[in-house]
Amino acid sequence: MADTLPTDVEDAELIDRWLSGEQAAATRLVERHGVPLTRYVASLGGRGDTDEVVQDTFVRAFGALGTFRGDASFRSWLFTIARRLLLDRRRTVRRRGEQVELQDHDTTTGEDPLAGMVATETQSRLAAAVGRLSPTQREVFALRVTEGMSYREIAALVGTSEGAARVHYHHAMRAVKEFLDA
Amino acid sequence: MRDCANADMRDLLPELVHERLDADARDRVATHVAGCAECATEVALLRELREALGATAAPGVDVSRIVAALPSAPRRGAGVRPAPSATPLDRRGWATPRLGWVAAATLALTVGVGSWQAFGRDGAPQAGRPAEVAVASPGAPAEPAGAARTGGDTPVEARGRPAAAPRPRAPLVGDLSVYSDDELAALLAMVEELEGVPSEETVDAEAVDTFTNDEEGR
Repeated sequence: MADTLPTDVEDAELIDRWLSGEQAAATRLVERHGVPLTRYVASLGGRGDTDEVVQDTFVRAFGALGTFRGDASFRSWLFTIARRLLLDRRRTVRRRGEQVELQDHDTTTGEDPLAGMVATETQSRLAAAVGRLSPTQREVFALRVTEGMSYREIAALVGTSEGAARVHYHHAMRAVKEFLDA
Repeated sequence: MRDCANADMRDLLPELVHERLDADARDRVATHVAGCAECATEVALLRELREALGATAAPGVDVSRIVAALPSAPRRGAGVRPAPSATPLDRRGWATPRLGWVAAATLALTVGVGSWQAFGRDGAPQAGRPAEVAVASPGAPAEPAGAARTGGDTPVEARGRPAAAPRPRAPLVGDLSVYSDDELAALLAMVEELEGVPSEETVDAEAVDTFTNDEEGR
């Protein structure tokens, strides 16, 4: 499925139609945002529970759709919900004494969240380069590169400033280039 | 791989790749990239990364499974109330049991705030009318920001007074005072279907100081 960037106007129309009772509008919204959302959740290290987090995100989003203000894009809103869900899950896991995945100091564990899904050697090297980034750098970088999000959107999602998001991105790009040049 | 010295231009490269630049900016950036080896390399890298990360991270989405788990769409044009009766309270349906908790909560809040306003923080009687509290409503906040809208500036306009036959759709924007009775009824129907987390509507600033709400406590 072609992942063209949906416009805010089209999302607003679909949301409006769903709130008016058109169930098919929900299908369209899931089709438009399901793949990017899954990609985002996977990039945050959501391996075994990616599908569950994605579904839960949509369920919660549609349950609160009447309160969606449209200040950010619908996709950014979904990403925000997913991120919080994933963090909550990780905290729960940590309380059980199990390994936590989303940690800023966890830089070179050797665990590449994209491992196992690579198609070509080039993609393997690129994924490895991104996998070496810190979780925050990886998240910012992935959002900028795969979703084309602005620094403002990324900052709101990740919980940082625009300036910090810009710095994270450029540091990440520098690290990726150095890895590929090695 | 070296970086182009023009940081502003480098910042626009992802936008170029994602085709999010307007025509003028696109031409400007494209012209720069055509003459800058570093930026051309970075654009190629960005395209490869986008392909690699996009291809590797999303094996597929079961849309039907997700949709089946979603809550049902709100009833189309739900909540057309009976013809207006004698009292405004009845006409707005606040007396119905299903809305009892909403009415009670709102009334309690208003009375409580009013009492505070009347007596002040130190208990001394004060002049003035009770603070106004917006009624909790799911998709129609006091200001248009709640509307599902475009890039950020133009809210979706509320539907006008509906024709007699079709049931009205609950509008998403606008001051409550501009709504017709049918539109207000539709709004209230939407409230009925909520499990009841009130929206983060505007309240009088002074009232926030008095009522410890969850946000303040976090």
